Amino acid sequence: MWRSMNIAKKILLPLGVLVLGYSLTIAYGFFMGLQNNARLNTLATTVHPASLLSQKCQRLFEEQIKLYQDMVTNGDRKLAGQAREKGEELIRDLEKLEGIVNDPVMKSQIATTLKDCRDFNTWAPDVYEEMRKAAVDYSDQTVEKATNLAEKWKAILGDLKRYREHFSSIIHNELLATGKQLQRQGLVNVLIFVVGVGVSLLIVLIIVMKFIRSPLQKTIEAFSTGAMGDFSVRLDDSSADEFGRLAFFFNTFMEKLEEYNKDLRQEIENHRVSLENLRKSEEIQGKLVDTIPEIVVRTDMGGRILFVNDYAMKLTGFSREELLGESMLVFIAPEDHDRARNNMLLAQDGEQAINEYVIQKKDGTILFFEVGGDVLRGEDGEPFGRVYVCRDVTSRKLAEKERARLQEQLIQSQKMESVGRLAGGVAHDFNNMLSVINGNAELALQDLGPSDPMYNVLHDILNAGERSANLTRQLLAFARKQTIDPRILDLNDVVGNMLKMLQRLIGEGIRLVWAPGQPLWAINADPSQVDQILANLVVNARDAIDDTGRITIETANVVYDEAYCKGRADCLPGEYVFLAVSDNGTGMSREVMERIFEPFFTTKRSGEGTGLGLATVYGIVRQNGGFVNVYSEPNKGTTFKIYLPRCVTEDSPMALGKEIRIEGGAETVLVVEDEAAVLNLTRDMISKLGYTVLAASRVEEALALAAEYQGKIDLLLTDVVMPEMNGKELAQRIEALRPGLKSLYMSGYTANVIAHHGILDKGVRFIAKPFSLRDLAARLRETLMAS
Amino acid sequence: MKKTVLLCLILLVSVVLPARAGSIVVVAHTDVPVSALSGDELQRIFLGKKMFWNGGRRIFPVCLKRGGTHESFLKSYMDMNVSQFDIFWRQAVFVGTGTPPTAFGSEREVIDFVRKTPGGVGYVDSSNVQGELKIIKVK
Repeated sequence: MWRSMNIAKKILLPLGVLVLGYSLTIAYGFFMGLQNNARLNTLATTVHPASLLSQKCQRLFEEQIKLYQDMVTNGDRKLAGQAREKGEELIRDLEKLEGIVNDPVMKSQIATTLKDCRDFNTWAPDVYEEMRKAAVDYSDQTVEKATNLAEKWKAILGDLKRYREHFSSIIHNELLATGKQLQRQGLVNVLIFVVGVGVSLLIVLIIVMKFIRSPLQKTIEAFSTGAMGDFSVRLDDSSADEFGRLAFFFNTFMEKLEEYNKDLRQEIENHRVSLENLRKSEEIQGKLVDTIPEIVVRTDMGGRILFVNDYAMKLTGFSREELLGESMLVFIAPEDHDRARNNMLLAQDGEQAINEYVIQKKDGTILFFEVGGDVLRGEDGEPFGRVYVCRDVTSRKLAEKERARLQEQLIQSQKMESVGRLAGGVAHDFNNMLSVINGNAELALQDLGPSDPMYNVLHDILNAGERSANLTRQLLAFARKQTIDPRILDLNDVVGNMLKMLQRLIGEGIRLVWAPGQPLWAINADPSQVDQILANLVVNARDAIDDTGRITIETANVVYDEAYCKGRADCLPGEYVFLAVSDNGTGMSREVMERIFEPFFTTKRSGEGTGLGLATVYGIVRQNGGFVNVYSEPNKGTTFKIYLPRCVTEDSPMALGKEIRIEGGAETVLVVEDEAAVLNLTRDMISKLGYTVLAASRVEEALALAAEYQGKIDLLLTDVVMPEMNGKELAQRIEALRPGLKSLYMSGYTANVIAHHGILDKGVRFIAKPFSLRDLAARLRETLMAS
Repeated sequence: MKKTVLLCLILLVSVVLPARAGSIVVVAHTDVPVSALSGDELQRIFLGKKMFWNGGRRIFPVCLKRGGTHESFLKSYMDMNVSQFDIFWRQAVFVGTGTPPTAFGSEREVIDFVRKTPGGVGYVDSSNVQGELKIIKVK
């Protein structure tokens, strides 16, 4: 039943009990009040009149006695009458008193007193009259009567006093008793009040503790547990009071919370998984951003850097701390700052473009970058930052530059090719003609003595012819159309043999210093081309020196790796032998230096230079797989470094510098030359050397001679280019007829297959037209002697 | 002021007229165990407040009914006049607290009664003292 009550009833029930207790207490007080009222009523109706009568009786008797006493003392007889009246009134009042009093004992005593009073009233007038008369001279009888009467009135007075005191005492006692009872009642009331209040407080305390605080505490603890995240907590909801309902709703609430919590946890887990995936994705993206070989930068709208990827730091050399918070312009070279600012403003207005900037690394190195950017906007569309992707296009830019350079070179090559074609086109006929001129002049000179008037004329003709031949050779050389005859060479030997000639070339005022590197690797080159190189470089050096100076020629081995060759278009990694020609002359400006290898470019006065010298050098070096470096500073000097690739071979370098003697022979030589003049000249020259000459102007003729000639044919001297068949095929056909035949090829300008490659087959002998008698004698002898 | 002057005059008369007082003597029966009494004891005896001599014998005081000796005695030894002495004893008899001293018409009767009555005590003029009496000195 108690559990089914709500809190209000649980509080009201004890309070009702308490009110009932109070009501009983009040009823008891009312009952006691009635008792007191009855007692006080008795006092008012009986005791109090009796008390008043007794007092009056006492007063009347005392007045009566006083009157008698005054009468006796003063002798006034009239007082006796007043005393008698007092006595009679006393008798009446005593009779009233006797009628009022209910107590039989008291009633009897009053009756006795009444009798004594009557007796006193009877005796007293006489006795006191007697005393009044006798003055002080009383008789013994009088004194005795007076004494007896005094005893009598004293007794009466005592009785009356006792009655008065009795009634007063009753009133006093009753009032005292009533007062005590009231006091007791008050005390009881106070006690009941205190106990009631105490009990009430105790009940309230118990109710509060047991039915409010305890469940409240449990509820608080449950809420606390729930607040800590444990939604499995439940309260006892079996009670029907408010706490029971609170517990019911709390439990329902917790069940819902548990359910929601479960859902929420699942959502959180899903979210966590999503976040983890997002984090992984971001990590991957971050790694991508850090890994991609492009600078990725994010800035605020003010251009201050908020993020940079690893590549940015790796490439620029800045640390992340140095970049974060700095302006985007920290990357960009100062000359591009204004353009970059302008582009950023344009980008803010929505204009997206890829711009090219010069990026400056921390160490000052310049790189070229394409910078693309976009504005980052929030959900409200307001821009909050920018992102930039900067692509390193340095290689492309360099490649473009290189392409431009190559393009220029191509044009240059084409230009040289044109010149080469031109030169090549005329060289063949020109050389043939020169061969005739020079050969005949030489033959004529052989027959004339120096004293002959024609000797000097022929000598001039020969000189002019040789100079013309040199010019033609140079034209062919720079155009790389020159037919070369490479051999294994020791560069030191080549230079050593040239020193005398070179010294003559440069004159007295200039000192030639020769510093050969030891040991020097072998190279594979045409020695005549090396001579050309040296001559050209030394002549240029001489021309750069005004009066006196120094020209240094040095050689050395060098090895270049890929790193060295990276920035040099001509250079391939490998082992090289270099030949350096340095002077301490006027040097060159950069503009001049850029053009020195162009054909026909010359700084020399008109008529002094052909503009083909360095072009020839360049052509020769490139033809031999090498490259040229030029170092020059105005007023300090110039150094040309020629790098020729090392030749790794077991063959020892060819010995050079042998004195070529004109040496004839008795062997039979078959000469094939389609140019009649040249054929004749050549036949004459060979004949002059003592050889038996078989001459053929056509291939068929030559083959016929080879087949038909009865004697031994030791050597075939053939032009390389002929209308019907080239020299090589002819040689092969004749060799088929005459095994052991030796061949020597001659050519002005060759356009055949062999010459197209620039190199004759190894072991094939060759002599370039125009040739001198000396050259021819030497080459014939050399070929015949070869094994 | 007037009362003060009157009091001073009364004191002066008391001092100037000692011979008159000295003429009244208190006499007693010879077996009275005292020979002297204080004024207070004498007043207590004649006002009925001291009723026994030392040793237990009853005191029988007697007085004169009237006359100069009586008045002088009352005035000298009791500090009262005759009326005051009478009223005292009327009230005493009325309330039953005592019996007044026997009063005689002459000093002779007083002397005789005292002389004959053991424990008797009275007062007479000194000139009338005769017979076997004990004269009590009043201090």
